[in-house]
Amino acid sequence: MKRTILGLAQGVAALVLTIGAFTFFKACGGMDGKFMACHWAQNAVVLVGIVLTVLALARIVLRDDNIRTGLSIGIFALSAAAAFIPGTAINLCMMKDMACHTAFKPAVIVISVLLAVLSLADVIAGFVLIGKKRSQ
Amino acid sequence: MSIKKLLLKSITGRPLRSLALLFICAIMSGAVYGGAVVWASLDNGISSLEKRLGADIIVVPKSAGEKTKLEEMLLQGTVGYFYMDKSVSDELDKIDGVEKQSSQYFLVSASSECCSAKVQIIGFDEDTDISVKPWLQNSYSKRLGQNEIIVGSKLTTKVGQIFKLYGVECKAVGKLESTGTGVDTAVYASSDTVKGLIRAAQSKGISVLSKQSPDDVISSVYIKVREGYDIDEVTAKINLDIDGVQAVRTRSMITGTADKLSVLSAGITILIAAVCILSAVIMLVVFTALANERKGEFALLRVIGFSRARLARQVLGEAFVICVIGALAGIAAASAAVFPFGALIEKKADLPMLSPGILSVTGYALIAFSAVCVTGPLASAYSAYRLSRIDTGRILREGDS
Repeated sequence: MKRTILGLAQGVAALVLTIGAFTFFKACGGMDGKFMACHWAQNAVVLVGIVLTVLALARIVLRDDNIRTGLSIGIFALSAAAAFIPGTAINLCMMKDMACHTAFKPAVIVISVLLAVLSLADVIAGFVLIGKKRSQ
Repeated sequence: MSIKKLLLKSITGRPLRSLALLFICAIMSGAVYGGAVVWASLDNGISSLEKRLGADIIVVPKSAGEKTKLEEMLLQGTVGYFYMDKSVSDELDKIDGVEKQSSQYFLVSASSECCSAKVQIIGFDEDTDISVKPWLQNSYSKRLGQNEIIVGSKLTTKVGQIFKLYGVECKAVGKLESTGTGVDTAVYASSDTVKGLIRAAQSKGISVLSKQSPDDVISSVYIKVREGYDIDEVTAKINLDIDGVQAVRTRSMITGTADKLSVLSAGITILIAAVCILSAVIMLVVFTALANERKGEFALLRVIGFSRARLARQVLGEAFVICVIGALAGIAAASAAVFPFGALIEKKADLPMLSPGILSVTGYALIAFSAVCVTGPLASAYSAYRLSRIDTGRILREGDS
């Protein structure tokens, strides 16, 4: 039951990250037909978000505890990496009061960290469960 | 079973009930802590602006449109430029009560230069400056050389990096401290650098910004009034004696923002109070209802040897553990909302914001934590008293029938 809730929560967080990155907390729009640096950060986050969503969906659908735990390890690593995309891996706009700094970057960091925490909890719960099954 | 284990079993045994109580505690602590941090940030922003301006009066050309345009530039960081004749500076020298004056020259960068937005370029006189230099000393104590600039804290450019303005490579030699206002988005340079930038703009065919030179015109004059003189009187005298200029008392410029802030802080205070009262009432109702529901359970505990005091400790302990976890969760959630999204709140509220220091933030967190951890056990105290006085025999008989 606890692992099902964790799996669903990971799926929802990954989906929010993917959809939100190009809708309600998207980076700055283009200017004079040119895209700014933050646009590429947004594309990278959307791409990582899609991979995270697929992994999270697989984590919900598949029943094997070993595979589930493995998928959660992948989600943890990828979501931790996603938190570093805006501003660290890919530069954002120059002014810190622009949308990419005020909405996009904090939202990506908060959701990625939340996803990393959820997946880490799932990994720990998975290892505990696997250990219990082995000892039986 | 130890009382600690029994406490945890009781909390985890009814996950929905515990989660609901945790949620109420988290909402209460989050509201108290988050509200206090936002209020302190807004208060810091307005006082930092007042200190930062450093002048008693700011003189701008009448074309600047009363005080609105300058206010927008200072508070919201709206880029703009306006000019008046440099002779205004000489006329101001003749006004009785003017102790110090320093002129500034505004220029706006072309948006394509900065890859994302226009930047306000402010040329200032280092010899007479009273509003910029005090904030530069922390980061750069030398005189600014040709093509050397100081950048506001909201620009991502770091000290030592090159910042291109009209194709001119300017070296950032210092960064200003954050004020939470529009001045954080500006770039500061010496008059010589500004002249060089205008020449570069001319060579690029951007003539709208280069019609006026710092040799002939200025954008604003910052004035420090001599002690013993009434600032309002000096302001009125400037407006009366010098044609084509508008003198604005800096405090009056901040008044509108301060009024907005006081309305907002009153709203935040009411919201915090309402959430606290509502949470306390809900907790009282929930704990009382639970006490009735759990009469049988506590009667059994009495039968197996629990003393009245131990029963009361059990009830109070449960409430305390839930309050501690809920309060910590609320503070963590509020921190995740307030700090990363502080700039967004500032943008939406249209008010300057400057986060309080780590000590103040810790203080607010402790206040919120204590408020929840005192309210919860207090709300359950009545239930604890009632449960410790239950008639064990009657309850168990009622349960049998």
